[in-house]
Amino acid sequence: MFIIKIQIKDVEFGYSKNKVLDGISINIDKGECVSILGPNGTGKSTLIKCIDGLLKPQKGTIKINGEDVQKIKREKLATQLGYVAQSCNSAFSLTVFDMVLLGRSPYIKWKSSKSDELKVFKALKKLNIEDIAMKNFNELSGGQQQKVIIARALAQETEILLLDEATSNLDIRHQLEVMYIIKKLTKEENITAVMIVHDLNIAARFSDKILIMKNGKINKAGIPEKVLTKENISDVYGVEVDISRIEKKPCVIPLRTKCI
Amino acid sequence: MEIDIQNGIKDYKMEKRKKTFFIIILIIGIIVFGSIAITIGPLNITVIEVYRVILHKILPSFINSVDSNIENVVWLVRIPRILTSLLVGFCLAIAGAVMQPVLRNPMASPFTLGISSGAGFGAAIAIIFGKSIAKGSFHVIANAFVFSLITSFIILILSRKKGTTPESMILIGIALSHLFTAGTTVMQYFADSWATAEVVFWMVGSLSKGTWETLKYIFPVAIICIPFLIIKSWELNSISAGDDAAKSLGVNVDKTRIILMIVASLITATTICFTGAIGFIGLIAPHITRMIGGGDNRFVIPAAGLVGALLLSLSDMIAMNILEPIIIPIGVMTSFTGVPLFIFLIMKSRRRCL
Repeated sequence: MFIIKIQIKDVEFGYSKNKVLDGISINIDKGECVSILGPNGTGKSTLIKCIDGLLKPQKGTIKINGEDVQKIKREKLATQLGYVAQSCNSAFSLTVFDMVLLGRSPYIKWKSSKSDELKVFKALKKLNIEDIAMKNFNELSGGQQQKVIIARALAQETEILLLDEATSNLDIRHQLEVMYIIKKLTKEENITAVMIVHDLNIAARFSDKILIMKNGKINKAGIPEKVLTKENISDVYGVEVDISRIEKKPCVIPLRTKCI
Repeated sequence: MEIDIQNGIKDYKMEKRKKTFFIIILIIGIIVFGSIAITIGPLNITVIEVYRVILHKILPSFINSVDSNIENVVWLVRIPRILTSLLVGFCLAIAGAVMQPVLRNPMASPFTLGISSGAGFGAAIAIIFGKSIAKGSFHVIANAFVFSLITSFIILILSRKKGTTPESMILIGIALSHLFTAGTTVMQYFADSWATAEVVFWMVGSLSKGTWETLKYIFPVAIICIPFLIIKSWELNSISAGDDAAKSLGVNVDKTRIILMIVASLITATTICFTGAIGFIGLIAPHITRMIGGGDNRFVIPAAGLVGALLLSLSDMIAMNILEPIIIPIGVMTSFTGVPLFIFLIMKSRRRCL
C-alpha cells in the first residue's frame, strides 16, 4: 500500500515573463527516494523551493500529507520538511554542534534540552563527523560543511528530506557515504527523500524513482532502468551516451555531445 | 557509540562552561573597575570618603555623611556618570550585536546604517534653528531621538518594497547616512560659529549628560528591550545561516528581521540622543566578543554588552583623567582605546569568525 506523501498538481512558477515551472504534476510516495535530473536552468531548484514553501507557485498546488504547503505555518512545516540548500555560508561562524543544533529549532524556543543535544550527536554520528563537533563551521572544507547541513536536516527529524545538490561538493567516497545514508533512511525509517542530483550514475544507483526535467516540465518519470535510456538522455541533455548494466543498475558512459 | 556520544556531550558542556566563565569574568571585571573608577577624578577625594558616601546613601541611619560637597561630587556626578557609561556601552554593543547577524553583515552598526547621522541631523536642527519637538532642556535630545527613529523607519519601509533583504537595508542605510550628513553640513555652513561648534561637539559624543535623570530614561528601555533580544538570539543563529535555511527551520524571517531592527534601533536612539554619536562601540564590541568566544548569538549578545560596557566606561575614565583638567571627547577616546585592541585581535585571532 503506497501512501502519497507529496502531491504536486499543475504547478506553474515564473519570474516575470518566462515560466520556470510549466505545469508540473507528480505524486511522491512515502518512503521513496526520488532523484530529480535535468540540465542546468530547467527549474529543479525552483521546484524544490516550491515544495518547501519558500516560493509560492502562481498556479497549482503542492500538498504534503494532503495539506496545502502554502497554508501550513512555517513552524509546523519545519517539523515536516527538512531542506538542504545548494550552498551554505554563514556570515558569523557557529561551531558544528551549534549549527546542527539549529535543526532542533522547530522544537525549542530558547533553551536546548539534553535530548536535543543527544539527537545532535546521533545525527553527527550518522554522518561520521562527530569528531569535528567543536570545530568552527566556517573553517571546514566544502564537503564537510555539506555534511554538517545534512546532519542538521537529520536532527530536524522530518518525514521528508529535500536535498538541492547535496552531494555535488563531495568527493566520490563521501558522495557514496551520504547517498547510502539517505537511502538507508528511506528504507529503515520510511523517510521520503527528494533530491537534485547531477551525477546520473549516482542517481541510477540509489533512487527508487527518477524525474527528468526539461524546460520547466517533467520530461520523464519512473524507475531508473526505464528512464535512463540512450534516447532520453540524448533528448534531454543533447549528449550521446552508451548504457551498460552494472550490478543490475544502468550505468551511463558519456561519449560525445550531439552535433546540432 | 554511546561512549562516543557521552564524550562529545562532555566536550560540548566544557565549551559552554568556558563561555559562562568568560561572562562571569566580565561581570567581575565591571564591578572591580566600577569600584575603582568612582575613587578617581579631578577632585581629590579619598577612597574612604567615597565609600562613606555610598554607605551613607544605602544606610542613612547608620553611617554619617561626609562633607556635602564631597557627597554631591560622588553621588551626583561620579556614580551616575559611570553607570551611564556602562549602560550606554552595554546598549550600543547589543544593538550592534543584533544588527550584524540580522543583516548578515559584519559591518552593520548604528553608525553604518545612518541611525547616528539621523540623530546628528535632528540635533543640528535643534541647535542651529532652535526648532524642536520638545521644549526646554530636552529640545536637542528629543530631536535626536525622533530623527534616529525616522531614519530606521525609512530604511525598513523602503527595503520592505524590495523584500526586506539585508542588502537593500544596508545600502539604503548607507545612502541615508550620507544624506543626513550632507544636510547637517549644509546647516553648519550657514550657521553661527558657536552653533557649528556645538553641533560638532554633539557629533563627537559626550557622557557629560550622564545624570540620574538620563538613567531614568535609558534604563527602562534597556530593561524591556534587552531581555527580548536575548530571547531572540536563538532565532538570530538561524537567520545568520541564511534566509532560506532559517525559513526551513521554522523562523518567520521577514517578521523577525523587522522586529529586531525596530528594537535595536529603539535602544540605539534612546542612548545616542543623550550621548551624541558614539556608535563605534556598537561595531567593535560584538566583533571582539566573537573573536574570543565564537559566533553563537546566545553567548554573543549578553557578552558583547558587557564588553561594550567595560570598554566605554574605561575609555571615559581615561578621557577624563589623562589630560586633566581637559576632558577628551568620549567618541574620540573610544576609537583610541578600541581600535588598537580591535586590530590586535583581528591579527591575533585564530578563529575565522567572519
